[in-house]
Amino acid sequence: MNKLFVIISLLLYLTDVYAATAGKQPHGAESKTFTNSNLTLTLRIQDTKQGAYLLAKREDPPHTLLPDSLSVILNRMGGNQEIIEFEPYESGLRSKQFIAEPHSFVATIALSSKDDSFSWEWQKHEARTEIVNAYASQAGITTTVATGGEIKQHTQVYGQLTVPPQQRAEVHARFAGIVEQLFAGIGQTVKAGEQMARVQSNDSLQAYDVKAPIAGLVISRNMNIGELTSTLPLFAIVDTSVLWAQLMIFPSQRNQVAEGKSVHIIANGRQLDSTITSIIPSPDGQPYQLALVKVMNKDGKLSPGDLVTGIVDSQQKTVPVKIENRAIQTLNNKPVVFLNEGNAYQATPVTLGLQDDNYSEVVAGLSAGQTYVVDNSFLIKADIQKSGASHAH
Amino acid sequence: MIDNIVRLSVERRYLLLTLVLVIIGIGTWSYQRLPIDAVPDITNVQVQINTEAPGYSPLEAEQRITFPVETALYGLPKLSYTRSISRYGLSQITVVFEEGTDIYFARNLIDERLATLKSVLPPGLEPEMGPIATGLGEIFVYTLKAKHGAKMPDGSPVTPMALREAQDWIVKPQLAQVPGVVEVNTIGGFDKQYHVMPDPAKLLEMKLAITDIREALVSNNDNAGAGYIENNGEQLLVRSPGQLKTIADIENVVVGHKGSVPVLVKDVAEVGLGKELRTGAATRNGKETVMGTVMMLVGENSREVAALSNEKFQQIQASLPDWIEAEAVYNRTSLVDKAINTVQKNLLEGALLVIVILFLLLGNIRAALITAAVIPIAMMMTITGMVQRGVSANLMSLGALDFGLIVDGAVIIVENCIRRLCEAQKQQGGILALQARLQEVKEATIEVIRPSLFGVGIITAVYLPIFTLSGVEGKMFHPMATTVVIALLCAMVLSLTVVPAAIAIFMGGKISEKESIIIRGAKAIYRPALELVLKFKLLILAGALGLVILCTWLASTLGSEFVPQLDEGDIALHALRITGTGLEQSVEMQELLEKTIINIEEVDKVYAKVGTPEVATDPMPPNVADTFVMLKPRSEWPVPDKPKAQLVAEIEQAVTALPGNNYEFTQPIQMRFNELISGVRADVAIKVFGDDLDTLLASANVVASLTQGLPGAADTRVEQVAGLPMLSVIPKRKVMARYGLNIDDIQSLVSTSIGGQQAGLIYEGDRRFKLVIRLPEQLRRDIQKLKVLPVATPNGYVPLQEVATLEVKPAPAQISRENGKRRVVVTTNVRGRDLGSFVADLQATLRAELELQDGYWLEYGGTFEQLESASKKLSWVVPVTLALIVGILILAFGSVKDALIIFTGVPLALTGGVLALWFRGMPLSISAGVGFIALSGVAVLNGLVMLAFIKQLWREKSDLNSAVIEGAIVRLRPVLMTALVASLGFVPMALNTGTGAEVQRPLATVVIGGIISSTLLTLFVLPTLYQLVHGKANKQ
Repeated sequence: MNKLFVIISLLLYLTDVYAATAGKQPHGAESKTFTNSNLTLTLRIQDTKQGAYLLAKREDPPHTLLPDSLSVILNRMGGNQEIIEFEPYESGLRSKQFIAEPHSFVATIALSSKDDSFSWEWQKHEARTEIVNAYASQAGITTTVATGGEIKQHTQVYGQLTVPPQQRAEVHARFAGIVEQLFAGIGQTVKAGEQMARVQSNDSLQAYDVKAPIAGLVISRNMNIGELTSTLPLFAIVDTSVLWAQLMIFPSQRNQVAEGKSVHIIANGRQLDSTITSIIPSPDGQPYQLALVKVMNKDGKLSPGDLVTGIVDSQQKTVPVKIENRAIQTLNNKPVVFLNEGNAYQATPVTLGLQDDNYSEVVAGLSAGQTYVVDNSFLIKADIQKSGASHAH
Repeated sequence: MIDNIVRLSVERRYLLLTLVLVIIGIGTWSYQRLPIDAVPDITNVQVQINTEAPGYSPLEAEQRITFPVETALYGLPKLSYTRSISRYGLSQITVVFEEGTDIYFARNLIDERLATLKSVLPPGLEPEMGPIATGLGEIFVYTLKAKHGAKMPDGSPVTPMALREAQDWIVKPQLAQVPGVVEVNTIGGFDKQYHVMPDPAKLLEMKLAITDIREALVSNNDNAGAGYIENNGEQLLVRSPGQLKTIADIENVVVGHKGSVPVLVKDVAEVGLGKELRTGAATRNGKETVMGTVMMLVGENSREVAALSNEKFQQIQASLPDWIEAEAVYNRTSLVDKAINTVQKNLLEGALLVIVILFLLLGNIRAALITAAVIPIAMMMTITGMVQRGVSANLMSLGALDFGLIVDGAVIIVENCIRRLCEAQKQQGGILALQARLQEVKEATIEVIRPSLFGVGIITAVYLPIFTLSGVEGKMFHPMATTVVIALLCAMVLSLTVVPAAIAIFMGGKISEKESIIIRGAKAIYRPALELVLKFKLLILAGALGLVILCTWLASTLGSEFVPQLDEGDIALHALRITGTGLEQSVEMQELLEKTIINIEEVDKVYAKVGTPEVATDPMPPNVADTFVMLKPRSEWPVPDKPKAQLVAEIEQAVTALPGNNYEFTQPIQMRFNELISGVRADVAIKVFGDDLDTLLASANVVASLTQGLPGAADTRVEQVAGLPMLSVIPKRKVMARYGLNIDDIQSLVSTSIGGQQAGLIYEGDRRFKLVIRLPEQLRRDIQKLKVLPVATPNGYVPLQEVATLEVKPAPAQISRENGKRRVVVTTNVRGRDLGSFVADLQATLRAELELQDGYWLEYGGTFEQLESASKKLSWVVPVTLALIVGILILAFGSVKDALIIFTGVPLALTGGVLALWFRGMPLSISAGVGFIALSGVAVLNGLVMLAFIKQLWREKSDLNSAVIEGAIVRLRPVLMTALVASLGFVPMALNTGTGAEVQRPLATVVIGGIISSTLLTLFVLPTLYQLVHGKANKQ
């Protein structure tokens, strides 16, 4: 009886220990020891705040390691080779340069001593995964080769269409008098110098012609025949064949917008190409500037007061390496792209420069000609990090 | 008193038999009410409080909802503890009550508290209690999909939205009516919504803001009732309809004016059907689908409710549009049927075997039938008792029933009565007179009733320690112990009353007690054997001792498992992806996963729930998918007897090659239990409580590294709380002031633009759909475009990036709390070291080396707690039980010596059980443990019957030696009978391979093996021991 319960309570213990065996794999080893006959060499990656060093040390005490005797070449995915140079450090050697992230490489190590030489290989991988090609294509993972090219950065701004001052005219009667004849009405197009009215002067009692100062559309008529002219203009004429888009440029956009840059004005679903003529401060002390853009309006479909969207070609640059934006993922809070070689995928951190809607410039981390993952790059990230995925209820 | 009962029973024998009819009646009635399930329900008494908070991030959900709700729950009576999680758009608080609390009482208490909360919570948020269901609640699952190649009536392809509409408005309302169904939970598809998608540029042009659209929509979408008028004696109801009905209606709502021209919605926005921002999706065989889960009310009969649901579901199919294919993918009935079939088959076969044995050994068909009749009657009484005690019929509760054990008492009485009647008839040389017969029956019964009563009492007593198990183990095994104890007590009552009455009535004629050949043969062998054994007493005792030692060693080499896992026949797996995986991405990955699984030949269907369903019974983030793999019947497998473990391994191998998924394999019901119980499943859990999430995480990391340094620590990990990428729109206060904007302007713009804002409902008959204002999809998805989203200012507009910083940063994915405080858990397992010393060591280390800020503290938990409390309890319950048994024995014999002699039989009985396990290559488990418990009872019972008789004979004849031999030979038949019926009754169970057999097999194996050894012990070692002990006393 007693024994039985001892067994049962024992069981409770055992089963619980067994129940929870699934654990995470420890982080990829950061050091490796090589042995050959009576020789022991340890390589270790040491992280410091400035960067990571590669340390090398002979573990068989009487021997000290000389910088010349050790040669380490790191072969990274995509054919990059780094030859590591060493300097003495403590009782061993330390690399002169930092070891770049990710610490994922195949290192070829050669050690020459007085009468012999040894060589080893160290396969050290992190932020790397392998996916069988069949599954990769089934999952929609595609790759492409990084190339150079143009990046066109755009800035989107809004503004209003206005009539430039020189295209607006009010027609006054020069001498006060009675309007005898009117030749123009609202909506009528007039040419410059065209006769618009005839007024009899009160002083001279002579009739004189009032002519259109500019060509354009009559938009108002304030007098009728027989009325006495006043200070009011007889007509107002505007010329809408060319309008100005006054685009509001806010402080954060100023760097991207300058005189002479080309702009695509989108108004009523149409796109009109133009350039920024000038940039003026906002007339009423608002915090934005106004970029003036000429917009041709030959067919008269646009009218002043319309709100338009302006897309400014703010920067255009030919870059040595550019990648598709879809390819960029973040890993450990850094932007990365995934290199591909056969079944293997390797995350590599990139420094990004200019970005447009589709492409990003790569300043560092990737060179032209390397193959990287474009579509479904998230899957690679998910696969690299999946061991950390756990079920939390 | 016992004598009086027996006398009364024999005299009022017809009344008693009538009572049996009543018992059968009550039993049948109870059977209708007996909840039947596959496994016992191990869910604790818990209530989930879910608050849906669309658009809330984990931090806001915690601050605005979880905290006030938790605070309101403080001090609830019978509250055990609360835990909560705050996720995107959801706050879930799980309130766990003490065991035995009435769930409706608990819900009432919570409801009361929630009512007072309304004013504290942000407007529009309603905390709701989850369905009144347990881990066994998900009994029926179905999917809706488009028929192959089918098109909607207007010729367009079938959309997930249309399927969801059919689910919400056709299927669900009907299924929810099925009695016993508490909830129909939907996941997948898209809730149909009407979307008004404003163009920011057009709004600017018209000098309108998004709020203007909302106001216009709200105030132009209502019907009004206006009472009635009487017109020439007729009553006219007055109403003014003004609800928006169609997309065109919405488009033509006036939003404002430009000059004298009205500006309509369609001038500034696009209107169309849109997709909700869903939190969950469902897939089936590699395609998106809409899935409904029928949940059963607590305490209902799952088999019945599932069957009714299925029936209703088949009826509903007729009312569905012909382009929809609706199919049940999971039906609990089939599992329950399979499990219950296993139990039934075992019990029936066992009962038949018992009857055959009785007939063969008693040589009297009437006597055999009377004994066998105890089985159904006791069963009826047991069922009644189970219903009264609220125990459900399942593999565990019925699994330990052995009809052999039940009839043991009756066998002893019937055997003695027949023997006595037979002898009396021989003496009289004819049929006995009625009075003489009754007298003979009474005496025969009373002669053996005491030992058999004590025996049953002891078997019942040994089950007591099981009742002290608590937690999950308790829930698993209490029903089993309850059922067995009820059955034994019923059988005891029956053998006191009905059995003598029936003998008195039916054994009237000439009793042909032909001692069967088996018994005669056995006696012929037994006598010389016993005589031989008695000559080598010490040798026999030494041999027995050696056997015990050998088996103790053997037991320590056996493997061990906790509860043998019930094979549900299907497979479930969690597919886990990294935190931050989007729902659509997760669905894509899931589809690929399912396409891989469905290619495996044994798989019939595969379906999955990704993320959280409509009612957040299981609030999973979008990166987790509960995948269910339904297998074909074994007969359709290429290799029908392929072990399931191998199949699971094959599936695992196939899916591991897929990129981006991590898996945990389990089974559907098991998965649900784990989700609900959810406590920490590692050996030791160190919970860090405090306020600031970063500090908590930092402290937890320190705890983890300190823990890792201790010898014995394995798999130490810190709960994953961070890592959800979040786009924060942080307003720049100073700049905003320059533009005359308030924080609120920006926040409401951002939430409306991206999350959307409801502006009323659109009714289509009964169906109602949300009218939502939200930015067009191509704008709200693109961070670059959001940066230049125009914010309306009093003087025009300003781009969003001018007045706010947009940054993507990782943020907490989930905030967990326990008992009203934020916590981060560090878990660790312990290998190669005992838990107790590890925990002590850990506590000392943390106390010495961990410096926590003020307001932060640690608590320890994990399975070690349960182990501690279980072993503490067992350490006093087991001795008490043992003392109790010895007490009963002493009571029975009035002699400590005899009591101890019988008691020594227990370890010898156990040897057979251990050997049987070893022989069949089975591990020790709690099931086997229960078998050992039953075994000890039987061993004591046999010893009791034997010794009682020997003692009586000794007293009569006063010659110890002949009393031992004669007594043993007379008791050979009952001992053999009880042993044979008890062990043969378990044979079908030991050999069965059906669903659920894995739970019963170890138990049956132990009992069969143990009874063989215990019988040998009773027949040989006990007489030897008795003679040895009393022989010395005799000489003195």
